[in-house]
Amino acid sequence: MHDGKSGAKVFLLIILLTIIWALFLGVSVILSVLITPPEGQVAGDTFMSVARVLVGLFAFAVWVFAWERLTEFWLYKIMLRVE
Amino acid sequence: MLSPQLNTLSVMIFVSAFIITLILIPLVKRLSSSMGAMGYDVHKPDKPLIPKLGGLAIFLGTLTPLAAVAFIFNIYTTVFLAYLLSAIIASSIGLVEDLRELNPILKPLLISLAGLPIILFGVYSPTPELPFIGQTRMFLVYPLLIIAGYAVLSNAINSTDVLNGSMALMSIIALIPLIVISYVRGEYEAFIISLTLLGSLIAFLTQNKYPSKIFAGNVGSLFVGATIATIAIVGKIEVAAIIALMPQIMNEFHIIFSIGGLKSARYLAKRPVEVRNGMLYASRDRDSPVTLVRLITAIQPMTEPMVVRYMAMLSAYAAILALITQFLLIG
Repeated sequence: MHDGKSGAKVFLLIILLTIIWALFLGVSVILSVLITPPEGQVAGDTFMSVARVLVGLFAFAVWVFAWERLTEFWLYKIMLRVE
Repeated sequence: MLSPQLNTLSVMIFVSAFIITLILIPLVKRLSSSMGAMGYDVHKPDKPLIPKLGGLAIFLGTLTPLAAVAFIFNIYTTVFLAYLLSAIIASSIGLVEDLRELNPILKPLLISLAGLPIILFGVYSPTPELPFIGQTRMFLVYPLLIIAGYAVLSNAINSTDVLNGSMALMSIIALIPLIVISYVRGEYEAFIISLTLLGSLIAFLTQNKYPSKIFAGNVGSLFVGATIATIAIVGKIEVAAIIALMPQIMNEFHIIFSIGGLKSARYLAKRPVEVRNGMLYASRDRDSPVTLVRLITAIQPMTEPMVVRYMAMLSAYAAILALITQFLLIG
């Protein structure tokens, strides 16, 4: 199906997907540390709820941005080696 | 775990979906031809015209057995009604897009309406589980996420319908972890909907694989996307669905980022791949859109079926990651 060099590039794509997945887990870990755990939250604390949602959305946006930049780097610098 | 009766029912609707879809495909081909709904298979040297309303067979092949289960046995009726309306909205938008092109900004806005029946019927739980965090409470935000989720997932599935069999095969693979997780967790509605879609997609793939005799069209890909979004929400397996669909979501977001917004692919000045002598070559131009096919052909120039095999391989890997992620959920 492919020679050794192509085999390595297939592996690189798998690595890329793994990094993106790991980043997602990383965002989850950060959120679990930054945000008061839900079970510890006092019901009706609107400010905390809004703050948690905003931090969550921001972290998610950072993940998508990092994903986009990383893939572009991967394609041009590693897979295609475009100067 | 499911009861023996539900196990039998699951097998029956899976087989029914497969058979109904298979029977409907020739009829849909004729309907497409008579309506002039044909698309060029652009990666073939002679660019043949192919019927492109195949998604109607997936739509009816999936919904008919589910309707029978819901109304004859009087189970899952609320979930089914919400799903039915959602599927009709997504598929109708796809059908309109297949017959006359929609504004690329209006399209995702319209697709997001497919999430409304789920909200209005209240067939969701605003407490999604996240890895390391456990169950969260998103009473106000969750309905908004549903709306966004339908647009993102439907467009993501739609964006992978670029090669013969690519959308159907990648969706089949993404469904497998969702079926396993919903079965283990006893989320019967999600399990039955996923199994029915799986049966229909397998039947469709027999005619859609290289060389395609029928295309799913927007009607098919948007229906599949809306169905997977419903499975994720109703089955409370949102995170697993996002991870299982990472290659599709990656494809959608990179296209949007690299072309600088929501634009029709038809009017792009630079193409992500070039086709020469039946081989697909990744464009080396930095202005070309970044797509999954371009990433894969960056490995080496390859034939269309080979690219689809690599897309399937990445989907299979994402499916494994989805299962691992599910195990990392606590609570």
